[in-house]
Amino acid sequence: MALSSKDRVMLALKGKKDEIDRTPVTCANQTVTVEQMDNLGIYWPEGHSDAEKMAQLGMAAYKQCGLEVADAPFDQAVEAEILGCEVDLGKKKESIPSVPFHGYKEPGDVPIPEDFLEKGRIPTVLKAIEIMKKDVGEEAPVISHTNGPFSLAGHLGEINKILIMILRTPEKVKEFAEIGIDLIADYANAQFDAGADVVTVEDMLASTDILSPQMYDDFAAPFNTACIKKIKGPTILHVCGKGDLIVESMIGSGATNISVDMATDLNKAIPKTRGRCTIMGSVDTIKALFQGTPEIVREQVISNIRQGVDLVAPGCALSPLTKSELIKAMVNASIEYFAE
Amino acid sequence: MSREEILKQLADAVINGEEELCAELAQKALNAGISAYDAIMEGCAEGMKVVSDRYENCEIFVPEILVCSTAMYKAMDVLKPHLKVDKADMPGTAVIGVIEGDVHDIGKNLVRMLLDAAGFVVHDLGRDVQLESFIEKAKESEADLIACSTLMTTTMFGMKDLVDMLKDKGVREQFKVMIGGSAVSQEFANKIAADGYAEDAARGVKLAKELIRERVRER
Repeated sequence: MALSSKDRVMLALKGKKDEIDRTPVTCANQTVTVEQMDNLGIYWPEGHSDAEKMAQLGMAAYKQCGLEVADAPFDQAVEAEILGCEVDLGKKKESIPSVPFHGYKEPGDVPIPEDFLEKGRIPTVLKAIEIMKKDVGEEAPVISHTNGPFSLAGHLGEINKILIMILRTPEKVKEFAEIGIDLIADYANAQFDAGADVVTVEDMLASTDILSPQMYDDFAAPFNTACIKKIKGPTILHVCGKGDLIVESMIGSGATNISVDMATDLNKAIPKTRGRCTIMGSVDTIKALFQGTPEIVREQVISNIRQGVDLVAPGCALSPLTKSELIKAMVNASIEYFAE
Repeated sequence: MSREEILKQLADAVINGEEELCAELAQKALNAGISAYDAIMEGCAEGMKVVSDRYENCEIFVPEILVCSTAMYKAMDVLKPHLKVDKADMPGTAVIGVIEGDVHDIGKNLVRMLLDAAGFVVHDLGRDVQLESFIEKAKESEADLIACSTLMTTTMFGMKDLVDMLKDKGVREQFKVMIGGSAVSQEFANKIAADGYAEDAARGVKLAKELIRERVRER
C-alpha cells in the first residue's frame, strides 16, 4: 500500500527508514511562493493575517507541487509582535514581515501579556493550522513554526545590540533569551492542540554566520534545549549557517530532527546524528531552487540522499520567488531516484 | 609618550574593544599634535585592519567586530571634529544602505564600519532605504560610491532597479555601485551591471578601494 506523505514524513522524522518507500521531500520552513499565490489568487500581506488565506497558502506547495508539508506561519515576527515590537507586514505580495523595532533596553521592559495565546496573529496561526488539518491532515504533515529563544531575543533587544551585549553584558542576553522558553513552548503546544503534527523551532538568528560555535552553546543552545523539553510533540530544530560546527549542540537540544542549511558539511554532520536524531536538508535555496535549473536541483537532491539525509528539504525557507517547476523537480528527484 | 606609542596604543585599544581608552587616546593624540587624519589612519584604521583580518580568518565573529567598532567610533567621535576635510586626502565618499523592503543590516554595518576605518567619508542611510534616497544622497554628497546590500531574494531586484534608475537619470557614470548580501553574487552583479560584488565585509572594503582607484584612473 502506498504511504501518504504524512506517514512518510512522520516515519522518516522518527528514523524508521525501513518502513518507508523513499526519502520524503519536505520543508522545515516557509514554502509559499508568488507563483502559488497567483494560482490561488490569494496574496501576502493578507495571507499573513487572515487565517483562511494563511491556510490556503500554507497548503499550496503540497497541492500544487507535491512538496510533502502544509505549513504556517510564513514569517518570524509573530512572537515579537505580541511582545510589543513594531512589526511591518510588508506591502508587496512577496514581502516577508520584518521587525524594524529598535529593541528593548532591559529584559524587564518586555511586556508579557497574560493571555498571549489570544494576542496578535497567534489565533490566526492556530486557526490556519486547524483549517489545514481538516483539509489535508490525512495526507500531508502539518508543520508549524515558532522562533527559537535566541532569535526572539534578537528581535526583543535588536540583534545588533544583542550581539554587543554578548560580550559586554552576557547575563542580559540570557535574560532576554529566557523570556522565550515558556512562551514559545506554550505557543508550540497550542499549535499541537490546533492540529500540528510537528513544530519547527526556527533559530535563524543563531546562525554560525553571526555567532561563534561557543556563543551558540552559551546563548542559543541551552534555551533551545529548555524550550524543546517543554514542547509536547515532535520537533525540528532549524538553524542557519554551517550546521556541522554546532551539530553536537543541535542534537543535544532533544529535537526529533535537525534541519540544516546548505552551508553545512553533511558528511561531517550526518554521522553524528545517527541513533540520536534524524536530519533534513539541504537543497540550496539560492543557487539551486531560486537561480538553478531542474537538473541542478535534481543533482543536489540525489547527492543529499546519497549522503544520508533522512528527509530532503530546502536548506532554509523557500524564496517567495522560487518557481514551482523547481519545487516539483525537488520532489520528483526523490521519487525517480527510488523508482530506479 | 611618543607619537608612535600613542598611535600603537590607540590601535590596540580598538583591537581590544576598549571604548573609554579609545576616546582617551584619541584626545591624547590630538594633544600631542598628531593630526586627526593621521590618528584615524594610523591608529583606528590600523586597529580595524587587524580586527578585520581576524574576522576573515574566523578567529573572531560578528559580536567581537561590533564591539571593536563601537570602540573605534568613540575615538572617531573625538577625532572627527578636528578633521580638516580635504577630499583629496580621503580615499572617497560612499553612500551605504540596505535596500528597500529589507531590515537585515548586520552585514551593512560591518562594511560601513570598515569603510569608516579606512578613511572613507560614509553616509549611512540605514536599512529599508528607498532607491531614490540612495541617488539623492549620492548626488548631494558628491559620492564616489554607492554600496547597497540585501539578505533576501525578494529585495535583491531593488539593486537592479537602482542601477537602472541611475542610468535613466543619466548619472550612472558618476558613481561606482557595489553590492553585497547573501542572496546576491558576482554573477548577479554582472547581470545588473553593478561595478562589483563582495562576499563579506573585509572583501567589501578592498573592493571599495579598488573601485575608487578605477574611478581615479578613468578621470
